Amino acid sequence: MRRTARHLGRAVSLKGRARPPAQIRAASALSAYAHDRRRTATLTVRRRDHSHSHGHVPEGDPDYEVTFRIRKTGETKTVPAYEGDNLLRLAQRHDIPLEGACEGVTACSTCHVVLTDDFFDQLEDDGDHADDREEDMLDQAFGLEPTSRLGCQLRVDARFDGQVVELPEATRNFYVDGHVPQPH
Amino acid sequence: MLRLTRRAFSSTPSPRVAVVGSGPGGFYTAKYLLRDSKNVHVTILDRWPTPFGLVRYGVAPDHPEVKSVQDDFEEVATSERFSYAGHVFVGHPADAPSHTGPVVPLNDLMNLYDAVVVATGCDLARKLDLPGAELEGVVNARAFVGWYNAEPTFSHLQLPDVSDQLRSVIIGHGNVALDCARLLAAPSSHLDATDIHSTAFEALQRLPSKRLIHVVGRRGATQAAFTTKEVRELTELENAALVIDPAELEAGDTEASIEEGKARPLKRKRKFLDQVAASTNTAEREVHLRFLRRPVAFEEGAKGRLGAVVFEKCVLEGDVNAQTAVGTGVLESIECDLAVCAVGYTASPPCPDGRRARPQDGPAGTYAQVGSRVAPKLYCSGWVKRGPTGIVGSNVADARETAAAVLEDLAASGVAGYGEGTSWADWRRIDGVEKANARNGAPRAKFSDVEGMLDAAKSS
Ligand SMILES: Cc1cc2nc3c(=O)[nH]c(=O)nc-3n(C[C@H](O)[C@H](O)[C@H](O)COP(=O)(O)OP(=O)(O)OC[C@H]3O[C@@H](n4cnc5c(N)ncnc54)[C@H](O)[C@@H]3O)c2cc1C
Repeated sequence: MRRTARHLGRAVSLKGRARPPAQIRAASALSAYAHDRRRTATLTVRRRDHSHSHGHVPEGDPDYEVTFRIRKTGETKTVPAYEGDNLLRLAQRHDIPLEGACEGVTACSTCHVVLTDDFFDQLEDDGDHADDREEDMLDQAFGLEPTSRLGCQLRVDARFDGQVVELPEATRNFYVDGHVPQPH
Repeated sequence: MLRLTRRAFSSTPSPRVAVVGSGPGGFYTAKYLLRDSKNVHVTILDRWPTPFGLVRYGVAPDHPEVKSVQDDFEEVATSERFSYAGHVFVGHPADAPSHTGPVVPLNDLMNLYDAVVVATGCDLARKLDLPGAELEGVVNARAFVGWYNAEPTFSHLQLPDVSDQLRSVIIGHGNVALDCARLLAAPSSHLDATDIHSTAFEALQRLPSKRLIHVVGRRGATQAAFTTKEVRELTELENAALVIDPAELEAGDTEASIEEGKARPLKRKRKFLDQVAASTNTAEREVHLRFLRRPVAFEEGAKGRLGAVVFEKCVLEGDVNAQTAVGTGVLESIECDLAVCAVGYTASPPCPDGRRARPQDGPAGTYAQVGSRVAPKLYCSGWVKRGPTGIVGSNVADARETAAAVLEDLAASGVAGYGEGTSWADWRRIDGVEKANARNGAPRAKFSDVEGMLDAAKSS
């Protein structure tokens, strides 16, 4: 795989340089999108899941459990998850109101989630922090928190088992708007 | 069975909603109207034959990842309850003198549909009313963006005829200003594989390779509306450099600015700008990000064309989140062949009273004051509701709210449905069962209970 401006640009900027050297910049921003390994993986599934067409559902016993929690109402929903699940698609498979307006190509921030401090730190410590593109889009998110991430950039693995992932303030409830859940 | 709506008494038995505007505001509203109801039909109208609003005519050609929302909208359009009426201008004919398609007054639309959602965006450019604004070489970003995106109204723009270098000044510090700067600084290879207007592509290619672009804002970096993403893109162009004067950057660091800059996105942005300022960048194409300069006039140069933009240096004064740029009396001219005014957009939505479109009471002439509901049967969504800020995805929350308001009102008015009645076909089935149940020689055995009739209506 060709190294891209983005890969190297980041490595360079970590060393305090404002911009990568010219030969690295030669790869245009466009080709950077196309060659980014993570992005390519996201793009292999052309259409994103819709809440009514659940797309591909993995088979076999689930590997883990992840809990989604809506900050505003405190409602929670625990769902079975598989190794490698994209957190956005996992949520959508279970009718959890996480949007993916740009289809997971980090061009929007509609799949914004908030992690617990400990879990966020754990991912950071493991080197799985948000890259510049993700951070740039998080800047646009409603209700940004220090532990915010984009759901479309997170892949479920053992570390996600038992975690609580919060949907920020703008999310109203687990039901479609206008549908008022009946009291029991 | 027959879903009984008020329209059951007319020829089309489902509530029908018209959405004016096929940009993200319109399409997201349509998406949630269709998703959250079983029978609502949605017609999107747009004055262009082509849909998607600013996703087609605003978003820069080198942002294809932003345009991927079109796939989502295409999917919305596959619904059987969706239809599109393109090349239809909604409003007063005087507001669309060059429109060659049908013009439908908003009142008529409101009589034809059960609800109308206005999602016409913020279509007007803010103008800089300064001496010399009429000089050849002064253009609005609205026109410049329209030109490189092949929007029919602006497809004939001419770039200045220069031989050794193109010097441009872009006035404004939003993302649109940086889009314009990037398009002017980008090498052909950067734009080659994009959907840029071919005439614009060729015109940009014909320009001298040497380019100098100043992007000038009245206030400091903390107050600038552009995002880190857009600034970063200016550092990633081949053969181009982003230049920031550290002293000018720091001149905006008043106590109030430091307080304002504490939010995470602003901290990141500042860190990045500091990095750029700290490096010495030169290239054949340079973009200079300039701060604390207020435009005061466009100056005439050779051949009666634009020669320079005159700025007044400013300082920041005022409280946190309310700082203004106050002139110091010190003037500075920046010589240029092209000036692009990118100082924002305003709304001028169609009016329900049959009069011409005009700005409303909200910020930037929007309906923002009123929320989703403008008047009975009239709603708004997208930029015309919220104002010209945020990214494509920012319209999602808005659209959900608008769709919910429409559906709630339709339900309350009975248009969305009183429940299930029976149709003539149901009667034919009941009739069949009654005949089948008849005693020897009798024509039928009549049901004496409604439940039995309804069961029979469901039989095949
Ligand atoms: C230059 C520019 C670049 C941008 N770049 C980006 C970007 O890179 N990334 C990003 O996320 N966001 C970007 N945005 C923001 C994004 O485009 C907006 O958030 C979004 O388009 C707003 O949607 P809307 O539906 O309210 O308005 P619009 O997209 O403007 O849609 C309004 C629609 O209504 C139609 N219309 C208007 N009046 C009438 C009438 N009277 N009758 C019939 N039809 C009518 C118009 O033709 C248009 O199709 C950009 C905006 C601009 C201006």
